[in-house]
Amino acid sequence: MKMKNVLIFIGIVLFVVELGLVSVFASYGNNPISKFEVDIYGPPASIVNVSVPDRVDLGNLSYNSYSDDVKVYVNNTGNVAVKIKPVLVNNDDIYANLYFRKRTSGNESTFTQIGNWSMNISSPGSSGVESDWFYTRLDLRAYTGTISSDMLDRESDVKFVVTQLQ
Amino acid sequence: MLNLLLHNCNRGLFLVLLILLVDGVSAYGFSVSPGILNMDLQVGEQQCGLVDIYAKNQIFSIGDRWAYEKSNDVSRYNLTSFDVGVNSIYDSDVFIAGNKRIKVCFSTEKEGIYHGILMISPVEKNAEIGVWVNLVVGNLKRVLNNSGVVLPITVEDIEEGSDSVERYRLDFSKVLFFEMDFMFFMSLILFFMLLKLRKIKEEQKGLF
Repeated sequence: MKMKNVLIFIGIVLFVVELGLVSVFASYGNNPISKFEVDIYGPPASIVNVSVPDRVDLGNLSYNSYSDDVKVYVNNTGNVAVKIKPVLVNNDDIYANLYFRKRTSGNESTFTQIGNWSMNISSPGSSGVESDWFYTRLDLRAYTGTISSDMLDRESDVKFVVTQLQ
Repeated sequence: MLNLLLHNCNRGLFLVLLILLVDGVSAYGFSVSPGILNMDLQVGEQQCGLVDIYAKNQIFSIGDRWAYEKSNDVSRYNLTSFDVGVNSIYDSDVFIAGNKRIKVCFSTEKEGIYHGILMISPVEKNAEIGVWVNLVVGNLKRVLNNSGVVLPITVEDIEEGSDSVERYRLDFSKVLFFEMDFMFFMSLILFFMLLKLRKIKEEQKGLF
């Protein structure tokens, strides 16, 4: 009789435990959790777009001097910050003496020779256009070639290489 | 009448001169998107990217240059794709009237990280836009640290990490199945014990 009661008690305990576990696991499958769904789009593709002047007139200068500083405006109309670097398209011993600086005072006021100079333009704000400028001059004081006669309307192609700042 | 005609002619001439003057100081611009092409590819696999060019009627020449080390200075990219072992496929001359999407494809025969720049140049203009090209070839994943340096991490490392997470993930269906089996066997044992108990009782009754 005693053994029978013990066995019935064990059976009831097992049954209760079973019921509990089943209810827990059943609720795991049907728990009141909502699935939230959203479509997240990545940032817009970067657009690099810079406007540079077609032509820059450096005026007049003597063979052993330098031209006036010419202020050149550039516009960043893309959606990312960019770097602009002017480079000579063809080897030109005169225009190899072209110098650039971003500002007339402060950190970026030192003239740097073409090929070694570049400037950054920050990303445009809500206006969509970030205007910036730099100064350029032709400095023939260190020119070692010979200028035996006037060179009127002497031209050379300078290409502005634009890249996204990375 | 003649005065009016002359007046109109002068006004027209003035407008033409004004347009020419404005044109003389005009600026040229065109757009390229995106500014950076990042590609993860396997050795021997060819992968392509799309570059949008927006411009008014203009012929563009496209070329690529490469460097052994990543740099923000375009002049350091002075190697050809052949020099670094990259096969690049794209149209080198395109005419753009409005908008055109250019397909550029790259493949390599060696694992590694390749840094290049795709130069898009209008033939008759003084601007050139460079699109950075970063190729991660082989079992490498691109992880950029704060300074922008590419740190290679093997795929095996990443998979090991994810395995360790999987290992500790609880599968409730398996637990439930195991628990049901356990309860079934326990019930079976209980049933046989009850039968045994009844048998003992019957034997005891028989004795008395």
